[in-house]
Amino acid sequence: MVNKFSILSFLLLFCISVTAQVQLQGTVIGIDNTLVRDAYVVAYPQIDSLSPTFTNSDHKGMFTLKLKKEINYLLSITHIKYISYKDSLLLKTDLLNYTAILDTSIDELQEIVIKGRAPITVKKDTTTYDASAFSNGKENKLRELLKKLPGITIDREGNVEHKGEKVTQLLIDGKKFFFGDTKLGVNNIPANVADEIEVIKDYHETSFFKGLEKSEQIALNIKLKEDKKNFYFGEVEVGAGIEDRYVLNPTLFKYSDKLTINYIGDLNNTIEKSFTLKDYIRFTGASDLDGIKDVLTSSLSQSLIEQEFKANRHLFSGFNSQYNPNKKSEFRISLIGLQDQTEQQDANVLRFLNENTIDSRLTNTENEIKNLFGLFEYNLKINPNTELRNKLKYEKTIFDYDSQTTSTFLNNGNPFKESVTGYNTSLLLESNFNKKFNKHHTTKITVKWKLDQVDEINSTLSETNVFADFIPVVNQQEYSVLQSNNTKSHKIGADFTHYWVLNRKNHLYIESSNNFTYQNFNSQAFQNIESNERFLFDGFNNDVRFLNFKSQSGFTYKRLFKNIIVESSLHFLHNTLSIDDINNASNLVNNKILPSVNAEWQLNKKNEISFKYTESADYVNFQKYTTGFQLNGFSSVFQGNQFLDIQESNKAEVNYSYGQTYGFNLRSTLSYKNVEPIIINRFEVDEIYRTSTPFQIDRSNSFYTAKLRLSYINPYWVIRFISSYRKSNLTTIIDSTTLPTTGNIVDNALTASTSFKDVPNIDTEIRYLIYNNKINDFENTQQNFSINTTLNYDYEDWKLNLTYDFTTFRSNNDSNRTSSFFDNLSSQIIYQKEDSLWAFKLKIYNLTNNKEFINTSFDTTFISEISNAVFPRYALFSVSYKL
Amino acid sequence: MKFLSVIILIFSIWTVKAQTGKVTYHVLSKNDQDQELVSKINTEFELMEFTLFYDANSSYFQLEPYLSKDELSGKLAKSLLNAKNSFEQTKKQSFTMHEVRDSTFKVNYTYRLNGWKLSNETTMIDDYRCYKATLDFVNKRSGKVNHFIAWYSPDIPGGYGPIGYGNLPGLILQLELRNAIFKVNKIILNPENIEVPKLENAPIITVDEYVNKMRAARMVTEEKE
Repeated sequence: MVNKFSILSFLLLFCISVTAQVQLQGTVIGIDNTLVRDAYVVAYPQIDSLSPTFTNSDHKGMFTLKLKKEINYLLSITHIKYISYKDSLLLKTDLLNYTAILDTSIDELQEIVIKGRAPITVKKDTTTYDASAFSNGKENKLRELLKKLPGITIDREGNVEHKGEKVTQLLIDGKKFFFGDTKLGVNNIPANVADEIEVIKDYHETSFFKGLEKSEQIALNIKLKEDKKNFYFGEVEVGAGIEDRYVLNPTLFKYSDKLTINYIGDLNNTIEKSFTLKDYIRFTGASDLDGIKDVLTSSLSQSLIEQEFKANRHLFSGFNSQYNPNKKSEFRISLIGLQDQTEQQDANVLRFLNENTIDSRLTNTENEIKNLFGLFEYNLKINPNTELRNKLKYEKTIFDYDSQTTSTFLNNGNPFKESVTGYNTSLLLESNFNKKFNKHHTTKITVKWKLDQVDEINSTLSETNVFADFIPVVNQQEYSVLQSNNTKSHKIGADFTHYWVLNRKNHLYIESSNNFTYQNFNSQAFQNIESNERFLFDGFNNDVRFLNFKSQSGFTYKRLFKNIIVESSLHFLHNTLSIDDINNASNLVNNKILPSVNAEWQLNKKNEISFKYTESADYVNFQKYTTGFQLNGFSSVFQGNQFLDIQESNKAEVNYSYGQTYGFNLRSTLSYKNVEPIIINRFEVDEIYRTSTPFQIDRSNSFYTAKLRLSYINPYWVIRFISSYRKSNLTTIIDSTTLPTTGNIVDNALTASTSFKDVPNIDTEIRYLIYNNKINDFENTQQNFSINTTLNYDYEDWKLNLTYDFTTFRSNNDSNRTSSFFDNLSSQIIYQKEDSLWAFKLKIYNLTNNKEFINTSFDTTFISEISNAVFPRYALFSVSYKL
Repeated sequence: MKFLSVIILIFSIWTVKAQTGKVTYHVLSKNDQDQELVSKINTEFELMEFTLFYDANSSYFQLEPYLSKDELSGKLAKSLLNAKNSFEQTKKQSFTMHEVRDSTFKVNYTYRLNGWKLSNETTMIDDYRCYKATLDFVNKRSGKVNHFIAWYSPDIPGGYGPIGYGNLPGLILQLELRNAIFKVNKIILNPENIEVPKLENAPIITVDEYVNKMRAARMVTEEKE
């Protein structure tokens, strides 16, 4: 005991003796005899267990430091005007009259180069915006939270805009959510999982609409709360209503470091479709103009183009998973299954311009579409600077459209039936290799192979002969005429880009893109005759093989001048197309140099001017080269033309924008586009029947566009005025007569939206649209005026939403004047007790029970005034539970 | 005697020319995560170069204009480094410009000058012995502690450094943030024709005032006690 005590006291004494302090007092004097104030005086102890002692000299150059006794110190005195002073000190007692004389640094004039070393590795945890600062805890879905972020607006569908620019990427914890789609995520992800939100401005999605228009876009990154990081969350909505309405909408999300799983399901027979054309484009991952063109012409797209329908059965399942077994590999799988059945009814009055023939048609349509979409990605990071990305995409669409039509012109007692059935398969294999050699050199190589197959049969079934004279039908009890089209194509492509960062202000990109396409197109029109045989129409068959090689190589040079970025590029295009038809073969070769310039001038933080000029040249869709006839329904026939050469186009655009967070914002664009020599359809018209053939003539089409977007933004409300004007100068050929054609579109919209606290908020748009078309001396003008208003009111646990749409149409031409009117009132009430997992929703759609929606459209040879049956009134009550 | 000291003072102004400097920094990433965005940001870091100008009275720290390889990543990289706007530093104060609702303010970041904990730890950066100093700053709203490490060299006097950090007994040759490191590239002492730029004039506010203004500019954020 005594022993222990003595050891303890010894230790204590030792500590006291070691930590005993002495004082160092001194004066800092310059060599010029001035007293140096504000010098840094530091005493660095020469043992690791002690910290340095630090002070500044006062106005008399005096300083005091408390040092440990009998410890070696390095005394350092620094001042910007002098050379640093160093001294070694070991004090046993206080030293009160220390003097440090600092030498001047007047003759120091040297250059020192210090090279950096390897970085230190530390885990990253980025923070940007705190969700809790915006949330009041009542937000249900992410969209309600995002709405509260300044500058963010969300439309009814769930498209997100930031300061008027569209958000195109949604990331969850840095991972793309369902292909980066905002709509799906924003409407489905619960608000309470978001911890931080990053809004990233001026996101430029590379190569999207490349060469067409600059897309200043935005990405949104949602960071999950700590307790939602390795967790399942989701929601199930179940509802039923009158008359015979139902909805089942389960969503499930799972996140963890290694595995991410998302599932969204939707089964309903209401007007709401959870999968639209925009979603489809995104899901297919189309990233360039050709890709988007391909997608838009696919049969699924055709069915997704928004049309009025009166009944719907929608089944959708989307599954998305990402697995990162280690730091190097990443697997991603996405599967989508869709089955859509819709019913449409429309009354269509067609006015044929040539002979003033009028035909009133009544059509009932039943559409069914099934789609299976699968995407598998495997990404491998070989080392930090080398990566390999592989993609396998499979898609199959089965479609079946059936319609029955009666026509006053044909005076058919029983309706004739038309149908389109078939399937569409596509398979894509793509590999992407990226290698960064060093800070200055990066290379990207992409190779891909794509297979597309479309098989479809169009048929017309009628008791009477409704067919055009130029369709060689044979007399039968019942007419069954079919057109089969089969397309099979292989596309092999290799792209190469080398990014060379010359220095901070100069970049040079060397690019080469090579695509080889082989396509086989087969078509046959025939009639089923009574003996169960096919009567093949002579001349109505095609068997064509296309071989296209398109190579574009060149460079892009990017330079930063003070505040102007100039990007200029020069590409050499080599494009060949050989057509091997049943009867003849032809070869087309085109070589062209394509320049382009893009300049952006940032005048200051708020003002920016940009200029863009691009040139392009391409062949039209291969099927326009087929020379056999093709039926296009019962009333029209198409014949291609093998003498179509390349079309060249150039486009110039000037932009000016003035932007700020709050207050006035302006964005204006002027653009001009010219296409020549143009390829147009030459029509031969006889009553309701017509034939068309593409023709190339030595003329040009020109398009002028002016756009203005003016907004005033306040924290609590936004007013926008969006106006655009487009003028087109075109040419039309009807019955061998070449007619000058002009088109004018004026679109003016005024929108206002508020986001006040605790009072009803309004979101309204007033829009006035004018379409004017003039062919020779025939003129048609159509005016649409619409008001769309949504009222939202959150009161305690209740949420009320009222929507009112109002539209009037007026159509005006030499022979006819029509007008119509449509309105729709819908409302929705949601009750959710704060912190409750349950929510209740009552929705009433089309309260006034409107029956039809009338619109007119203008085609080259006719005007159509179409009245679509709209979705009938329904009421739906649903309950949702958050998992 | 007073007269004599005035003479000495005038004389000293004549003879003692302050040390000036032009220092360039580059940025190293501390994040090696295998994410596309991370590697894109790291690429931007590589392309960036910063310059610190200083004389006896003040310093000015700026990002040299450069072409970003990817615009989004460039913006993100700038905000991660807190280097969107230039910093001006005097002996006792540090400022940068911020915009709130279209008004520009000169925000006082003087907290980056005070509260350093000096350490005995040293490292050699090229031929310079650098001492370590640390600064912890607690984010009032999130409660998170931000930890900064500076390596300064007493051999190069002038208490300046990147993004408004300084008031250390020597130039900061390396500054470590959460995500990245500013590291000195090249130092030119007493360069010819140096003129230290200044921030434009604007109302001066504190960081807290700036945060409050930002919060007030938002729509629905309630003031927290």
